[in-house]
Amino acid sequence: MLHKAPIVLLALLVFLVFLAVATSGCARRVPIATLGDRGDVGVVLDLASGETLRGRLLSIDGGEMTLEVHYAVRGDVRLTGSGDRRRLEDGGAPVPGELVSVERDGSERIATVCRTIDVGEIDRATFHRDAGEASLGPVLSSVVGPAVGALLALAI
Amino acid sequence: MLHSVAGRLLRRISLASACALIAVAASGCAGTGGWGYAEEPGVPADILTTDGQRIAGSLVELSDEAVAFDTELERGENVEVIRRSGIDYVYVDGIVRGTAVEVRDFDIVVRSRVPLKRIDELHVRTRGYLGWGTAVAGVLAFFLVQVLEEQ
Repeated sequence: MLHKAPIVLLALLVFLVFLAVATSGCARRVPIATLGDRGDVGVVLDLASGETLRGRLLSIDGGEMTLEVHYAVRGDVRLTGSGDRRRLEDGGAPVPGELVSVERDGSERIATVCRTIDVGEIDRATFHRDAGEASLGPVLSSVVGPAVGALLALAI
Repeated sequence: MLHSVAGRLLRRISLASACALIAVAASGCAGTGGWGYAEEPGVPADILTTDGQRIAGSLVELSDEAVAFDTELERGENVEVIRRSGIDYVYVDGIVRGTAVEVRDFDIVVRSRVPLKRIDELHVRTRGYLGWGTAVAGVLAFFLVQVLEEQ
């Protein structure tokens, strides 16, 4: 019995760590006004102008929505200028917003533009969870919890 | 004695880690590729309205400067679903609460619209892979196995 005590304590410690990790899933409440990099929410926008945008939501605040949109640099979409004057054009017209970065993805270059849009210009916007999170959450909840609990009970 | 118990514990912890890893790897594969976001709209969120009402549910869309929000409403004698012009309206104590998205055995998924002007705070819940449900299921499984082992 005396020998078993440290093992029981170790199991209890592991169990408490597991509880802390599990419950931390509830703690990720982020104000949408300051979402930024603290959360991953996808948004599909249908604008009154007829344009459709898909990107990552950064904030909704003061009647404006800010999002990050990725453009593949090919065809009509091209980069012009250099340094601070570098900008993205689509069909000869500048893409509204601030060019944040240009990264290479395989053989393609992907430009990231940060756009702020007045809510009044939005016909419809839909909000989407991260695909990994949407598929992973239910599996983890239904498998990992009971599996860890049962195995700890067997181990003690 | 201590070595054999410690060895058994180590083997079982290794097995638990392997199970968790397999679950994570298998489910991770399902979420990769494409746009990177789920096709079906809906993000867990909660709203605090300017009149102090807190609503927890799923943020679905924004249109006409109002957000559409899905909540789960328990069915009861004071809850009615009435169809008008092909739309199912949900009434609670005779007051319309929203439209019915899904009528289930024990509850109804209700979509209500909240104008942006009426929203005091809007929080989204992201990266919440695990929750209280996982912890509760873990505790239940722990005691269930202990009871079965004693028998």
